[in-house]
Amino acid sequence: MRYLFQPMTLLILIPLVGALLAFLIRPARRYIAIAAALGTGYFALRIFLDGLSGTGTSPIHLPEVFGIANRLQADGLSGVILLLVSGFALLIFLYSFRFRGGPRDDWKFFTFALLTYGAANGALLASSVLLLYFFWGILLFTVYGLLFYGRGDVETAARKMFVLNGVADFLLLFGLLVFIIYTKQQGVEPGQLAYFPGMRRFALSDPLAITAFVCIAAAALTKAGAFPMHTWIPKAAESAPAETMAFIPASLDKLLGIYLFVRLCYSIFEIRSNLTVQLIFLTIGAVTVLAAVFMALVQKDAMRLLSYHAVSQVGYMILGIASGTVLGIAGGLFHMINNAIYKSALFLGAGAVKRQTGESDLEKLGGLARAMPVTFFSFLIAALAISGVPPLNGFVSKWLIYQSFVELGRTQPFFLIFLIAGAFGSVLTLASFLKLTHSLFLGRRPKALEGVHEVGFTKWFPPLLMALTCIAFGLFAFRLPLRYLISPALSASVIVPLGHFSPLAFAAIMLIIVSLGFLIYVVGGTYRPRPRKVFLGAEELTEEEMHFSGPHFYSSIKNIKIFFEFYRFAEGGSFDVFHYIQGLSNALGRTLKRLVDDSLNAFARFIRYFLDLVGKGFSLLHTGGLPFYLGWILLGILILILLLIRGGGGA
Amino acid sequence: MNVPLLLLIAVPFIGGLLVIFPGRFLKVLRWIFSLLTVLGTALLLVLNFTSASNKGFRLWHILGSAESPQFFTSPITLVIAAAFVFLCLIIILYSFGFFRKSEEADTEYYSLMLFMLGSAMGLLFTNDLVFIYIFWEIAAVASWRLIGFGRTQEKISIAARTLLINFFGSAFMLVGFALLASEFGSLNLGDMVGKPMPVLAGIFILCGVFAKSAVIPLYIWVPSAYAVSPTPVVALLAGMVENFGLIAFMKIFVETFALSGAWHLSLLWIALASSIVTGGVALVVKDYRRILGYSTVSQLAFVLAGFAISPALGMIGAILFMIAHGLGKATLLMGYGIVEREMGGRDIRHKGRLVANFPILFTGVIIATLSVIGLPPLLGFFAKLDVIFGILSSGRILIGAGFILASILTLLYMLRLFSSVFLMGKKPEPQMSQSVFLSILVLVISLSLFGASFAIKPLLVYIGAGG
Repeated sequence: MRYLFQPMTLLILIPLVGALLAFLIRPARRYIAIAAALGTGYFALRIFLDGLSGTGTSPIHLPEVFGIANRLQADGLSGVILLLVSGFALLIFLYSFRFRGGPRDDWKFFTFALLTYGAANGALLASSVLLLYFFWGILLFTVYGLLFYGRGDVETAARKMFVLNGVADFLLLFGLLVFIIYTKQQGVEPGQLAYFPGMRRFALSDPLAITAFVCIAAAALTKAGAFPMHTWIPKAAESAPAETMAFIPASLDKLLGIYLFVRLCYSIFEIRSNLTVQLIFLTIGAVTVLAAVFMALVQKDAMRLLSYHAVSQVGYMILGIASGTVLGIAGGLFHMINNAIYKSALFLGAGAVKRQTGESDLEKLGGLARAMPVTFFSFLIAALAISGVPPLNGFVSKWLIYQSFVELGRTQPFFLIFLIAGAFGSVLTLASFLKLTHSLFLGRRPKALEGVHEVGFTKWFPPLLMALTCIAFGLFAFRLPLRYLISPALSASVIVPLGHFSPLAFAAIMLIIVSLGFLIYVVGGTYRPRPRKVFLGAEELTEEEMHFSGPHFYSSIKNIKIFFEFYRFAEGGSFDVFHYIQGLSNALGRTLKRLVDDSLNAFARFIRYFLDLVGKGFSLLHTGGLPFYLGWILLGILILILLLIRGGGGA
Repeated sequence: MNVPLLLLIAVPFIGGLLVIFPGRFLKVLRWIFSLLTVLGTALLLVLNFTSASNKGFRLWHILGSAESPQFFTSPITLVIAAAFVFLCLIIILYSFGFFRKSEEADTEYYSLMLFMLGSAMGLLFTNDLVFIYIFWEIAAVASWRLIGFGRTQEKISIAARTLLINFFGSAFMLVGFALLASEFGSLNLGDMVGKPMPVLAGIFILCGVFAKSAVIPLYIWVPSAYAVSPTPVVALLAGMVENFGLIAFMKIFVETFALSGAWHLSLLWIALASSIVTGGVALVVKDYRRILGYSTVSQLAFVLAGFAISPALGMIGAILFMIAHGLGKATLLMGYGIVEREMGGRDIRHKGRLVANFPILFTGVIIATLSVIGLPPLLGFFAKLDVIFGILSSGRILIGAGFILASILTLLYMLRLFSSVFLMGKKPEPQMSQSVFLSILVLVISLSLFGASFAIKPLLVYIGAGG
C-alpha cells in the first residue's frame, strides 16, 4: 500500500487502470485515454524535473527474484525517455480523439495503446534486467493486440511482428541471464542496469560478456526496428492507421530499443574495447540506413514509404551509439529524440491526408498544399528535418554523429566509411522526401480530390507542435535539448562539438539567401509562366498526358543493373527474415519428423509385427493334433536324455 | 497415523468405487457424486495444508527400517497436489458439459477419472517404491481404458500401444526397484538418501520415467493417444498423468540419490533432444491434437531438464514448470476441444476467424498460449525463466541456448495453431453455439495462470525457495 501512490508506481498503474477502464466503459474510452496520458505525463514530468535538479526520486523496492534486487528507479536517461514517451502518448491520443462518431472498434487502439504505454514505462523504470524483461515481454503481447486495429490484412502484420520480436525476446532472455551470471562472476551486484554514480563498465573480452552484449543488443535493435528484423513495419503500414504507426514503430519502439542499446553501450559495456563487435554493429547501422532508404525511394504508398524511413533512421542512431564516443552517443540519442518527433509528425500528416482523401497511394494524390495548409507546413518542416537540412534538428544530430566518426577517423581512417554511408543515406532521404512531398502536396490536384479541406484541430495540432519543436530543437540545439535532455541523460557535463557551428548564425545566412532568391524570383518576373503548346508527332498533348507524377521520380533507379537485382530480391521477400525463420523452422520440423519421429514410429510398428509374428509362430505349433504333440514330447525327452548322458559322462 | 493424509489418498478411490451405484438409478447422480468426491478431496487437501502435525505414517511394513515413513506430506508435494485437484475439479465440471449424450460418458468413465486422481495423490505423498509402483500401474490401466473410450478398432489398437509402451517402461522400472531393494535392503526411499545411484538400477528406472513422461525415444504413444481419446481425458493426461514419471524422477533421482556429473549431463542432453525434436515436429503436423501432443513432450523435457540440473538450481523451476505446463496445456486442449466439438474436424487449416464466434474461449486460450510460450506476466514465464537460468547457472551455456531454441519453436507452433484457428481465414464463420459454460471453465483455469504469477513470491517462500 505504501508504494501504491508513489510517482513511479503510478507511472505504470495509471495507464494500466486506464486501459481496463477504456475497455470496460467504451463510450468514454477517448476521454479516459487523454486523462490517463495527462495524469501519467504529470508524474513523468515530476520525475524528469527531479532528475534535472539532482534530487532524484526515491526508488521503490520490489521483491527479489533469484537473488537479484528489483527496483523501480529512474536516472537521467530514463527520466528523459519517460518524459518523451508520455509526450508522444498524449499527442497521439489527442490526434485519435474524436468527440463523436469515428470507428467503433477504436477501443482496441486505446486499450492496447494504454497497456503498451504502461508496460513501456515499467521497462524504462526497471533497475534490473529481469524486471526490464518482465515489462518488455508484456509489450510483445500488447503491441500484437494493437496491430489488430486497422483495415485489411491485420493478422499477417501482427503475426510477423510477434514472430520477429518474440524471437528477439528469447534472445534477450538468454542474453540477460548470461549477463546475470557474468556479473555474479565479476563480483558486482548481479543483473543491474548500471546507474551512473559509481558505475563500472565491462570490457568486451570475456566470451560471456560478448554473448550477453550481442544477444541483448540484437534484441534492442530489433525493438528499434533495425535491418534485417524490420520487415513487419512496412507490412503493418499497409493495414494499421497512422496513429498506431506514429505511436509504435515511429516513437515508442525507437525510444525503448535505443534506450536499452545506450544503456548497454554506454553504461554497462565498453563497446570500443572490442573492435570486431563494434564494426559488426556499425555495419548493421550503415546497412540499415542504406538498404531501407533504397527501398523507400521506389515506394508508391505514402505509409509504406514512411515506414521504410522509420527503419532507415535507426541506422543513424546505431552508428552514433556504436561509435562509442560521448559525442556519437549524444548524437545518437539526440537523433532518436528528433526522429521520434519528425517521424511521428510525418506519419500523422500522411494520416491526415489519408483521412481526408481516403487514399495513401501516391499515384492518386497531389496538389493538396492549398487545401491543407497547416498539414502541409508541418509535413514540409518534418520532411526537411528528416533529410538533415540545416538548421533543423535532424541536421544537428546527424552532424554530431558525423563528427564522432571524424574524431575516430583521425586514428583509424576506415571509420570514415561509415560517415560516407551516413551522408549518402542522407542525400537519398532528401531525394525520397522530395518525391513524397511533391506527390502529396504539390503538382496537380486530381479531379477526385476537389472537395478536400483541412482536418480538424485535434488532427493538425499534434503534427504542427512537433514541426515547431523540430525548428526549436534545431535553432536552439545546444541551449535546449542538448543541455536539458541529452547531457543529464548521459551525465556528461557539456557536449562540445568539434569546430564551430552556430545554428542561429547558420539560419540567418540561410534566411538571407532564400530571401535573395525570392527577391530575384519576383523582380526578375520569372514567376509568371508563359504557356506554350507542346506537340508530339503533330499531335497536341493534353495536360493530362504531360503530367509527370511524383511516384515515378526514381523508377529509373530500379532499372540500373545492380539495383534491379536488389529490388527484385527485396520485392520477392528474399530479405525478409520472417520468411527465413518460418522456412528454416519448417525445414527443421520436416527433417526431424522424417528422421526421428517417423523412424521411431516405424520401429514401434516393427516391434508390433515382430511380436505378432512370434505369436503366429507359436500358434502354428498348436495344431491340436495328438500325433504332433506326441512328437514334441518325444523330442523333449530325447533332448533331456542326451543332456543327462552328457552330464553323466562329464561326472 | 495422519488421518487427513490417509483419507486424501483413500477418498478418490472409494469415490471411484462407489460411483458405480448411484449411476444405476439416475444418470446425473454419478456426475454429482464424482464432483462431490473431488470437492471432498479438495477439502482434505486444505486440511493437510493447515494441519499442524504433518508427520508421516506407515501402512504396512515390507522391507527396510521401521523409522522412515511410507506416506508423508511436504510443501512441494502439497502444492503440486493442489494444482492436480484444481485441474481435476475443472475437468469433471467440463466433462458434464462436454458430453452431449450422457451415455457417452458412462459410469466407467467417472470411476476411472477418480482412480486417476487417487493414484496421483498416492504417488505424490508416498516414499515407498512398492506404493509408487502400485499407483503408477493403477494410472496406467485407467489411462489404457480411457484412451480407448469409444472402442472403435483404431482406438483400441492405439490404447493397446499406449499400454504396451507404458508397461514396457514400468516392467523395467520394477526391475530397477528390485535392484535397489537388493542393494540397500529397503524399499523405502528414506533409507537411501544421499547414496550414489547404482547405474544399472538408474537406467532401468529411467525407462519407466521416460515411457510415462514421454521422453525421447519413448514418447511415441503420446501424439496418437491424444488424437483418439476424448478431450477431457487428454486434458487429464497432459495436465496430470504424464507428470507421474517426472514426480517419480523427482522423488528418486533428485530428492534421494546423489547423482554424478555424467548423470546430469546425459539427462540434460536427452531432455534437450526430446524438446527440440518434438518442438520441430509440432511445427509441421496439422492435427491440432497432435500439435499439442508433440508440444507436451517438448515442454515436459523442460521439466526433466530442471530436475536434471541439481536440486539447488533447478528443482523449484521444474516444479513451477510442471504446474504451469499442466494447467496451460490442459486449458489449450479443453479450449480447442470446444472448437472441435462445435465445428468438427481437427485440421487447423480448415478453421478460420473464430474469434468472433468464441470471445470468452478466445480470451482463455490466448492467456494459456502466452503462458505456454513463456511470456510475462504469466506463470509459464517464471517457470521457464527459472529452468533456463538454472541450466545456465550450472555452467552449461550451450544447453541453455538449446532450450532457448526450443522456446522459440514453442512460440512458432503455438502462434501457428492459435492464429490459424482463431484469426486467419478470409471470412468469419457463421454464428454457432458458444458453449458458454465450457468456455468459462477454460477461462477460469487460464486466469489461474495469471493469478498464480501474482502469488509467485509467497508460493516460492512456501515451497522453500525463498525467492
